[in-house]
Amino acid sequence: MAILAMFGSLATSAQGLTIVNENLPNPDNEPAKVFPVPAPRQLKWMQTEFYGFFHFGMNTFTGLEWGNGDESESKFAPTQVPNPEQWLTACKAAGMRGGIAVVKHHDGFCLWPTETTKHCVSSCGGTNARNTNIPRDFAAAAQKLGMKYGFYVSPWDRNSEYYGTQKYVTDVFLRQCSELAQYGSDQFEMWFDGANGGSGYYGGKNTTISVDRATYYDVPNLRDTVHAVCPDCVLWGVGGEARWIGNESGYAGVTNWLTDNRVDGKDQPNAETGTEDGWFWLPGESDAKGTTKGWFYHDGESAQTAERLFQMYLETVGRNATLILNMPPDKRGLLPDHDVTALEGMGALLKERLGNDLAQTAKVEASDTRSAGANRTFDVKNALDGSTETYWATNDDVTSATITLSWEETQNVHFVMLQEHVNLGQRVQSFTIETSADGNSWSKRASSICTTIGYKRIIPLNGSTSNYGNGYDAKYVRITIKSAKACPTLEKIAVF
Amino acid sequence: MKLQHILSASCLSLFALGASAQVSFEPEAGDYTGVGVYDFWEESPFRTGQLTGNCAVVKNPFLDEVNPSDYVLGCQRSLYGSNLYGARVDLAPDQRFELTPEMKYVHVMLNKPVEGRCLIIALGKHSNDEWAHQHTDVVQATALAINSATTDKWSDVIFPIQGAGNIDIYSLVFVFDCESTHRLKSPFVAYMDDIVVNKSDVPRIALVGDYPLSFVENQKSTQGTSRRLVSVKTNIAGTSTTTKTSATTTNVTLYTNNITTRLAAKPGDSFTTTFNYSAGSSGLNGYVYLDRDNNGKFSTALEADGKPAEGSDVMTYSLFNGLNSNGESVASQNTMNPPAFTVPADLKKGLYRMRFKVDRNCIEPSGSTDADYSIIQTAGHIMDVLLNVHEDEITVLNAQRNGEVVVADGTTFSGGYKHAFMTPLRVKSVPEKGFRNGGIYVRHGYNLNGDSLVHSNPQFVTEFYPASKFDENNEIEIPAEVLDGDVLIEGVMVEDKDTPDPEPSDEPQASIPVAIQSGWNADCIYNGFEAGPTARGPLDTHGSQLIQPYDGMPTGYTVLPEDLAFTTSAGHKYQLADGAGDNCLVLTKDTQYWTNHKTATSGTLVFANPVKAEQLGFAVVGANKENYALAYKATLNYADGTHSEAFPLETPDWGHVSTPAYGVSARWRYTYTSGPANNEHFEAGNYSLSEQMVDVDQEKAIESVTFDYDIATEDAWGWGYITIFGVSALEAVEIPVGIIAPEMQNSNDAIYNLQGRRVQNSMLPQGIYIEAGRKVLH
Repeated sequence: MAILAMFGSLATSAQGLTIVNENLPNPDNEPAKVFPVPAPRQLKWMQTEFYGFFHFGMNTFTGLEWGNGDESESKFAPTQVPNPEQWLTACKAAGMRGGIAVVKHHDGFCLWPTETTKHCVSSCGGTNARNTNIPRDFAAAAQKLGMKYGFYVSPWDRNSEYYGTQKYVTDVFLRQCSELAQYGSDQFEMWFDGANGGSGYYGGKNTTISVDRATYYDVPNLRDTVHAVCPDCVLWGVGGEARWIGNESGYAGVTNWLTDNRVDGKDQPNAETGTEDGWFWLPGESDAKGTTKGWFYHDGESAQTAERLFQMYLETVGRNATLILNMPPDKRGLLPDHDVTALEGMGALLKERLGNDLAQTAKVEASDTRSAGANRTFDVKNALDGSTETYWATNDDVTSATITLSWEETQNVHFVMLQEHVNLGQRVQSFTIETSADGNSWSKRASSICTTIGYKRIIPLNGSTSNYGNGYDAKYVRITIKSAKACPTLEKIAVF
Repeated sequence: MKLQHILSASCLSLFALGASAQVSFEPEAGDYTGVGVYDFWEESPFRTGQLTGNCAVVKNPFLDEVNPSDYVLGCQRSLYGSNLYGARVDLAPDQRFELTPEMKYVHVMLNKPVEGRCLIIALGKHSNDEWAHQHTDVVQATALAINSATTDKWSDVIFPIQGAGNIDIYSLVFVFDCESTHRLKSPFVAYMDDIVVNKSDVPRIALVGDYPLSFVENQKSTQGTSRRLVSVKTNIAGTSTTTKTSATTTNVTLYTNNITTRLAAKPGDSFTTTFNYSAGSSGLNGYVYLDRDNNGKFSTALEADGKPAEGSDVMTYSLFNGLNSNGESVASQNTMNPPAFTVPADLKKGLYRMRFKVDRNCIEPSGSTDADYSIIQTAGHIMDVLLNVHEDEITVLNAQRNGEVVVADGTTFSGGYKHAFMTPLRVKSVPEKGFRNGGIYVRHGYNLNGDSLVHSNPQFVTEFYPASKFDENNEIEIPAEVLDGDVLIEGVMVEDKDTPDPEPSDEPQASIPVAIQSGWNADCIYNGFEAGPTARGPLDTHGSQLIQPYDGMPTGYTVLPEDLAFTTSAGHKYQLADGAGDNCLVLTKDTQYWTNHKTATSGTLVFANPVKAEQLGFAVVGANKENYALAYKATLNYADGTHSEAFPLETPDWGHVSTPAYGVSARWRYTYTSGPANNEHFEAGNYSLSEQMVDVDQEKAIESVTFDYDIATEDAWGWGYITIFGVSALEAVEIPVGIIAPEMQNSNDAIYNLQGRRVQNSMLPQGIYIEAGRKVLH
């Protein structure tokens, strides 16, 4: 709750308002923030980085991607009680830190025993179906595995007779979100698909209903409701706290700002790149399919190759976005073996290619280091200590600086990873990376893609996200921040 | 005292009626229960209690006719607040209002000393019983203002807000500086007043000042890109002129200040106006006004039959209250072009403000403020030009010392030389012994010895012709367009010395290498350099370069014809580097694809040395495949790390040729008037380009230029290209500025007066002079 200064009386002296001196001591010499900055929940959300997406529901059994809403509850017939622990275990092997489970898609069928509609697991014929409670079991599995979790609940409901009316929002949708919030106050994300109506069953009306999603779902009060129970839950998409990256192909813009000019209820105009001077902190999430057919399971599908998944990782997590990778459970309620294998392969590639940080054995020097404060230093070594609380920074009037890493022995380098201390806002506009064998002759690497950094950038030094290549033999790696909105900060530097 | 809204009775505004809330800060108003500061940032010191902010109702320090309120709300912009920090007003119970799906507009009079965005935060709670537990300061809506505040003036800033319904707004927060504070050096105070919440997006502007508008000058259209006034064509006694507005499809402005454009007319001339509006059945009407008495206003007196009254400044209109300016009945609302009129016979020679307006059924020259059909809502337009009322002959006078300027045949200008209007005049500089020609100033227009501005209308322009432009006989022809009014010629005579002026070099200007960086789909070959996408190489002196061949052209792209060339009206040529046929640089996405959201790509040209805008020239065409709007732009990347959008590019729709394509230049914007006849490729031949000055910072050093395009619509198939035919970046040419004299003359022995004329040392009256580059009192 904001604390206000309430001045009810009139200033009767000279005309106008007299400027008062405000002073906040800064004993640690921290750089001034470049606003906007992330809310605490948004920062935690960004730190999740890579997580799974699980489309399981009525469509798994009808073969559709968008059910019409008139599917009989009896069609939802898993051959065993779904096992979210198996899903998350496989995803953890891929390096994921969490997952989002679809609990109600556009067809309106709810995968938990909700009080808001009969079109849910409670009405199913089969025992396995009636015993299904995805939010309960998914939350439990995530907590057991030490992973984050959240739910996808479709605002659009093609089954509900009330859809399109205020009653749907107040008596169905908001109540469903409220029920889901009760499954764990530590949810990290709630996913709100941007679909804004269309044709559907709608309780037998079989008509087309469109809504203005800018206002219909009462997003401000939805946020307030969810945050009251789940304070760290980021409401994605229509929820207005994280933006869709603008495609479903697994890539973000090479230049990608974490800020945008948010418009409630709408997709953001600069989805892939953000807006450099956007007024709201709105990081991007890339949703992509890990399998070859649809979002839901389809017979005959296969998983993307590990190399392709690694490429997606470089083009999302490596470009200052998060990656939510979809792996659809099959009719058993399990991830198919080919998905598990692909995820293991991806995990192996991540470990192999991004697991050995050469910077940890390097000598590191910076051309400028911010003057230390009473309890804080800004030495470049802070960028190697693995802490999210410490960082390197330059002095206020320095927006261009160089960091040089050097080794006694020649290293074979493929990637450089950089992370700004985005608690203070995103600053870097462009940088360069060079390698050298002798410290005298330098070669610029991947110059066309060295633009923004933000939460995380992973630069393939050969400029390619699809070709791992042979790397470069170097004893020196030089990173030059060329331009920044204010003094640059780096929380982490890594070389692989 | 509530704000007095000075609006014409003939254009009713509903903004004061049907208001959901009205808040004044006068002591007796009782419209609010408290004021303070608010910061959206959760960790703000204003939330933790470390700081309390400075916000209070105070006496109005900027009381004027626009805002005559005695008391206003003042709020100090804190260096410690976020970009979402502002003044909070808690509404009295009878001023709280419901947020509904129907858009409402919050108006606030704002006066602040800095530029920057404004944003509103509406705080409240759900009104249903089950939400009784909810606090009243939940953020219910946030929105950027739809218009800008003018610094140091009261502006009516407007915010659109809406919600799901059953939401009560308890407080409004005005973020009057929605910018990061990391560059803010010192706090400042902004003042707010007279908050109104209603359904009108029309600004409340008190119509004061010269030739007022009912909207802010930089107002953009709210009706998308399909409705805009493209140009106005005039035919004055048989001479036709087309004047473009500033509205483009990527920047749809509502006002064009074209008062550097002078339309020439004589009293009694016939005057016909044709409006070129982009939408066929626009529902708009055309109006033409002339400030006949140069008093800074357009009077609108009409007779009962609809004809302009005696002395009225209304020249013609197509429809107002069912009639046109001929008094004829007009049935169709879609009547835009007004009847021809006659330039008033009693007009004396001079420059007069003329206004062209498209608007809906409104005689007011400032534009309609009707609640449903305001000029903003209908995407009307106002363009101001100057009408140059002239005689058949102009008078030429001259003034100089140490010599004289005469007509080339020896006739002097003393007493006033009569010369035919808008015909060239050859003159000769005749310096006295011991002096030589240093060039001439030519001041042309009216009121040459008076104020240069009358009611913000420039009265005259001064040209300078340096000595280097004269021939060996010290003669020069003053072009016809300069002889468009009274003329005063002043010769500059400088002391003659042995060392001659440097002759202009015949060598072509050196060019600056350009590197092609990122985004370009080409292995570039240019001027014999075979290189990859990031190679460098020099440009030729014509400035046309770059490149291709390119394997793997996008589908449907064909090579350019050998003799394709662009020639501008100023005679600048951009031609293909060697005419081999396929010389251009193409920026495009790899393949076409379906996207249901915007996508973008970009490519950058990097200069080896930073250049200034005057050194740059481009000829570029952007184009798109399929029938979807693509937005193209060129961004200048300055050496200091800042950026500015140089100019948006129009694109032709190659699927449906309708919109002309634009080239782009750091100096000029080009439009080619004959588009490709067929889809996807250019026909052979010349394309004529018209130029228009583009306002670009001339001083900042430019490191590179980035071309971007993106697909602007959702659910679009498409791909697009930016094709660059020529880029030139020339070495800077030194142009003497300041005291106009050849550099070697600016020696310690020379003394100049403040007008730049060399004076004899022995004859100096008391005053201030320039010696060795310094001001000295004699």
